[in-house]
Amino acid sequence: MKAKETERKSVADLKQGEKGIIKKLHSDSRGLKLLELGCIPGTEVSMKYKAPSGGTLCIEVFGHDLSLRAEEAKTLTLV
Amino acid sequence: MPVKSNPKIALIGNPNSGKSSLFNRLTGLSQKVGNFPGVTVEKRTGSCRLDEYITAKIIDLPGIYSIYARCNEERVAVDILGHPQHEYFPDILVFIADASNLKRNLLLFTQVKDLGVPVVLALNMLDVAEQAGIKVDVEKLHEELGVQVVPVNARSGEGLEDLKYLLSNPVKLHKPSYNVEPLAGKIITEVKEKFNIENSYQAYQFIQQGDSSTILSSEEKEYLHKLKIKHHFNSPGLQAKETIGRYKLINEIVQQATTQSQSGFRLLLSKVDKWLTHPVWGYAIFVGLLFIIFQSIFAIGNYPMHLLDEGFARATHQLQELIPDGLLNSLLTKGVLPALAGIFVFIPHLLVFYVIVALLEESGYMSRIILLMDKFMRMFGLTGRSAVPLLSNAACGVPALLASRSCSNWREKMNGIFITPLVNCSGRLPVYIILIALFVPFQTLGGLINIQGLVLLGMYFFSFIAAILSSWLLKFFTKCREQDHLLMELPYFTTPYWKDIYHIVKNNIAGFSLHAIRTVIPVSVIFWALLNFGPSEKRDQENITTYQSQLGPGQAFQHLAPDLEDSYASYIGEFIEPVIKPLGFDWPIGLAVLSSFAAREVFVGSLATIYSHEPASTSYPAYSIIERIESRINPHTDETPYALATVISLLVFYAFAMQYFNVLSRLLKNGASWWAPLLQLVYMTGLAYISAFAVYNLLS
Repeated sequence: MKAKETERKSVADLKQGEKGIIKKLHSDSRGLKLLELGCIPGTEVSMKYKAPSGGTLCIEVFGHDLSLRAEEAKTLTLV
Repeated sequence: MPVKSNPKIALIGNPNSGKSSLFNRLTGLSQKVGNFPGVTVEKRTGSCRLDEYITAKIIDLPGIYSIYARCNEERVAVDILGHPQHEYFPDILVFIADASNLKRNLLLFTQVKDLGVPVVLALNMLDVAEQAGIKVDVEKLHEELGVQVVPVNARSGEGLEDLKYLLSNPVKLHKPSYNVEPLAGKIITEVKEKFNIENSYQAYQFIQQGDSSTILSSEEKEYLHKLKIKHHFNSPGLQAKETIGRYKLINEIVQQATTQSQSGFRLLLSKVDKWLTHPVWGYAIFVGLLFIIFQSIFAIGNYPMHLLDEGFARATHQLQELIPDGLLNSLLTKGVLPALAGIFVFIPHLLVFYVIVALLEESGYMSRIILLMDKFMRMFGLTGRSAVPLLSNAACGVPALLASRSCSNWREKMNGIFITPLVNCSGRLPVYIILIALFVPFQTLGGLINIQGLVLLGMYFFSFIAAILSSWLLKFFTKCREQDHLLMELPYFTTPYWKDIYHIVKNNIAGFSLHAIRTVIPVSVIFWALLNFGPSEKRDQENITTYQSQLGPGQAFQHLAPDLEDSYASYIGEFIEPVIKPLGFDWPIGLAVLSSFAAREVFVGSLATIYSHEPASTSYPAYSIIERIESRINPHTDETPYALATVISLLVFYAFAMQYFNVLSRLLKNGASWWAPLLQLVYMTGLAYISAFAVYNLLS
């Protein structure tokens, strides 16, 4: 259980219905876009739906729903 | 500053904030709107009377989330707003904000305000916000932001008069919301001096995004570039800092001006969404929805179609009696009128189709389809966005296909040639609908499911699979650095506005009809001539006149028939027969197919013209195209020429066949790359022929 806690790092690891707080994101163009869409460090994010096989997922953050790919979600690390 | 008599007013806002609706309301133009991000991809202009004296020029800018452009179409906004000398630089900027997500909307708002453009805030979608439990205190927001705030409803038109009144009066400039000086004070001062500008944020934008400006000269860009190196300007880092700083400010403002309460409605929608985007049920619901849509098109369309058919038959009959016999009579009643009837009897089907698609577009469901299809489509080198043009009309404007990728020029060209014609929305579904309504019998399985709807569903999946397979093949041949992102906001479901639906449907039907009339009339005249004249022209002429003067209209058909075999049409038909026979087509179908390279829907018109020259097997409604097709018998086989195999073969052919006229016009437009359209034509026609051949032989 504890090992799992330390492994979990990014938004992509959240399970459906789970919540987390964004810690950091990459400062490339994708990261900047995520930032502009409200994925600001310190903001709460919750996983709305997630395909079990990965791929696309949908998160609720900053008062709206965002859909993104798993690899995009991986760039958002959690507290 | 006094108000000009023709001020320039620009509209800006986030994607899907109702900007296009507002533009349409203000200008009376009907630009496509849709409830998914990115419907407006380039700037558009129109004009609007604000009051007796002032007529404003309205400029609609593409929807963006921030002033920082990530792709070409986003660059338009910063290019215009960052340069007061730009020809489109507005006298007043209207910022349209989605009240249901003020925070995100205000990011761009504070940016454009800080650029020093006089701006007013149009607060849209207050009804959506209310449904979500958000209350906005407009007065407070005005105080906090320091600009004029008008609540509007861009779709119903509420608040528009207030907005116009506001715009007909001078708008004051306000002090910036966010100070960029602490981020890069020194370099900003240098740029302000060099370019002689006052506004710090404008100078800062020169440094951040000057290199893609269309106004700055290359020397100026060079200067900015050197300056950035000299000061170790960390562009992305500073952008991040700025965004976070602005959001901090915005958070405070929004907390002051809005109250949020739990909303049962939002919870319900969220549950609905869970099903719609579910990895298994989502697909099932999508297919189920298509099934229901396609079923209802034919179930509803069938009865009015027969009424129209009968009406056309009567009108033709009356016209024939009214006009003296002769060439004109024959041209009208056996050439032009049947051809038009052949197409227009299917308007009821198309009406149902366009209404349903408009409802889907307006509701916000298309974004769910993008989300749902993305993973699947990516396996084939497409994005989820390319699923939309296959269904939606508004999406035609969206560069759906691989547009955001940075590909080599060559790959892009190859995509344009080989994939785009497969995924594009050049009215493929309407043509399927017409052909199916005409040729596939109106029968039901078990009294419930109609076969026509099933065939359409099959054709939809067929073209879908063809598109993804060819894209997948191309992936093997070309390498491409995939850099696109799916990242998009999922808009809330909204109740459609009937006025919008009405406009969308009206435009679609009018567009279809106009296009059909323009192509069908000339083609039917040519066909009529080919059918009525032959190599031994003199004899034919005599025959027509003598037969028609001797006999009644019903009998004239019988006697014209032998001549048909001596007509040019019949000779051409004989000539092409060896080519089309393997596809299961007889010569009338073959000729009609040839004519349809002008436009797909011409096919039905041409067929109707040919059949009205053949002996009628039924007596009174001999002018009815539908009856003629249903009662037609192939003289060689004693079977109907529209057996299932032939019909499917025909549909498959039309899934791929190109329209020569389109290709020709493109050839004339850019003569330099003449080989590309030609290659496309050969490829698509080949694909059409081979697949129709395969399908026919498989089924018969």
